[in-house]
Amino acid sequence: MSKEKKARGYLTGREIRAIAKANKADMKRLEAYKNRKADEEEFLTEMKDPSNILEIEDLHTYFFTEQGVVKAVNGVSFNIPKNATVGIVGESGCGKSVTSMSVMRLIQGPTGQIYSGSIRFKAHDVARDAKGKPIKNEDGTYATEDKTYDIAKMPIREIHRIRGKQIAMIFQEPMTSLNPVFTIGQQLDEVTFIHTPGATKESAKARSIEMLNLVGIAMPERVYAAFPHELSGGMRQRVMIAMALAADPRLIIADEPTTALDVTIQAQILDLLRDLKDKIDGSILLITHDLGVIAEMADYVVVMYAGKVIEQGTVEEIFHNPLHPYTIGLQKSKPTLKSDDEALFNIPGNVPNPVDMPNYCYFKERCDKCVKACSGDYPCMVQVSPTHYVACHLYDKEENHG
Amino acid sequence: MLKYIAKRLGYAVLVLLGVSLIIYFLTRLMPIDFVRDKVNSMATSGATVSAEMVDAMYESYGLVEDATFLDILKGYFNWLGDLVQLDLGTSFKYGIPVAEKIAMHMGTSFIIALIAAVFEFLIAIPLGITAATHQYKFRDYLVTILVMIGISLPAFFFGNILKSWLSLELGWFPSSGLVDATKDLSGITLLIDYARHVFIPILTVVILSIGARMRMTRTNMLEVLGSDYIRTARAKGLTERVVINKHAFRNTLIPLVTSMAGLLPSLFSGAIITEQVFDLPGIGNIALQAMNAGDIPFIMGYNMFLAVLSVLGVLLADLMYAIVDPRVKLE
Repeated sequence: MSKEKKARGYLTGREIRAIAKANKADMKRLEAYKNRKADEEEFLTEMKDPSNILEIEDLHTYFFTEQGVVKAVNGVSFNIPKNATVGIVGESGCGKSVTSMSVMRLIQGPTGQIYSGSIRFKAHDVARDAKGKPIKNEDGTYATEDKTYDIAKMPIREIHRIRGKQIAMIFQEPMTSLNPVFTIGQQLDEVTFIHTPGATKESAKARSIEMLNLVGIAMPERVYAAFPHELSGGMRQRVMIAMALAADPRLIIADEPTTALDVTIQAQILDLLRDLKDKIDGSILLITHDLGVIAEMADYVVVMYAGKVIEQGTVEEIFHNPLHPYTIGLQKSKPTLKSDDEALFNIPGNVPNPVDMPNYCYFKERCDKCVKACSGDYPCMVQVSPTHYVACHLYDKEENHG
Repeated sequence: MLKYIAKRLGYAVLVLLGVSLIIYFLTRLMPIDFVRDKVNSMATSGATVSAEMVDAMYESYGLVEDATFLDILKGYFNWLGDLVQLDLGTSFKYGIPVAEKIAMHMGTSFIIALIAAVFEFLIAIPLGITAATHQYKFRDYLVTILVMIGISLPAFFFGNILKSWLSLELGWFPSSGLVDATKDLSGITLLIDYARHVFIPILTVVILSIGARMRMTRTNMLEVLGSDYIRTARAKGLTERVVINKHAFRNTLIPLVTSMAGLLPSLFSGAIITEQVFDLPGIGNIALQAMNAGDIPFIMGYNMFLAVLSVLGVLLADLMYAIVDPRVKLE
């Protein structure tokens, strides 16, 4: 085959069959693992740092496509401390949404699979006796206990312990994320029905109205009876937030919650999320490509590029002392009032082909600060301060000296 | 709502006028002349037919030999005038009022079509849903291949296969007709006899029609399963069963219910080929014979009957749409 064809990603019939065969084996194994029955002991684990609520370690989420394996998340590790907001930034396709979907186990099989890694989560679950029945306290409430689950190892049939109850998610598109044929009330009540043992129609409705009040909806009774299409985009996103909060989750994942909204509504929704975080005593994982939103909201920032974390640190460190050339580029490409006479900065080049990643730094081709080591292995994470990490050969030296 | 229905019915009258005009002209343009055929058959059977008798026959059927455009137009308005007085005319071939003849044979066709439609939906919808939820897996391929075979079989061929197997070879069911004329039956035994006679025809119709409905369900279900609100439902912590049977199914119903209303004319039109194969006295069979004979009043009456049902079916579909989809408002 000519080099030119190879460069264009042309595959021969034999290669396509080889890929299909390899994919089929992997998908079958992972799908069986996902659908297996397992005892709780198998996915119970311990947190490395008890102050964290979520620890993602070396997570790999792959998509098995006809062109080859797309490593959408390729060895991502970061932690979410209790009561903190962690922001993930990166351009489209860098794997930030796939990371969050992996935490919720919403990756669509059989093509998409969590390949390896662990997602440790400290859940606050209803205590169960040996038969799996919830234990009731003397005053009629249910006893609860802390358990740490490894979400990546959980069989999919057990995932309802986590989804909605412990970790709730707010999606990017409020316009299409609500079921058009059910009323807001029906959709909100459902959350209470699933997650609160012994919930009645009345208690569920009371809870739903309370939640609608909490997210600042003026006429909760009316919105409760309305259908999604009768509400504006901002209202629907508030409903989505109310739905996420209804079961008292410990962690809320907000996947670009403001992208589809206009600017004034964006600010309102962000304010709301910030207020609520304090009220519910939980953590937020905020995914966005908007650096302004991150600066406003986050305590910690994780910068992702091509399925890997390239830099992470506190929000001050990332904004005042960005180290990775990509993070620096991202900051430079933000429009500011001062630079209105110049063309907007952009990082030259493109992300490498996801099915055929190089074995050197993925950013090398687009980087203006390359050194000799950049042609070598993919850089390791270098710690530059107690909280600041960067994966770039420019900082290898400092580690050696330190 | 009532205003909307009244407006739609008003439009329907205009549509039906247009339809009747087209059907009438097409019928008159057919190269069949009922009177000439009748005269020919009388002549071959040995009767002498004078020219005056022929003229008198044309006169009595309200037809003209070698009709011009103006003659046909006049004929149309005569027909329309009778229709306004709710008179569909008398069938040439059957010699009784068209409405009476239609009413006489509609029942058989309707019962067969209704039972077949019920089974079609009961079987096709679950099949479509399993195929969609197991997309590209063994179950999906199996169901798809089976229903595709069903779609591809011609009615006259498959009907005869079933007949020769279930009736002639195994002898489980009678091969044709609606009642066993050799026995004197009444009450429950008559009903059982009817059921035995219509079993194979219904089986034929169901197997042939499941495919389209199943494909439709599968496509809709797949589209719904890929939507954002299904992801939301999963993210809430609902089990996959509730996600599919409640959130997805309710949305898949929207096009299905609408298509169900569109079924109205086909419930009454009769299955022409199936009725032929099994020699059933259904409306489709009767209409085909009338067509071959050039029975203008019957052809007009039958087609207008179906046209009315089609218009009502479309209206009903729109009304159903507003019921199952809260986003649709009828203005």
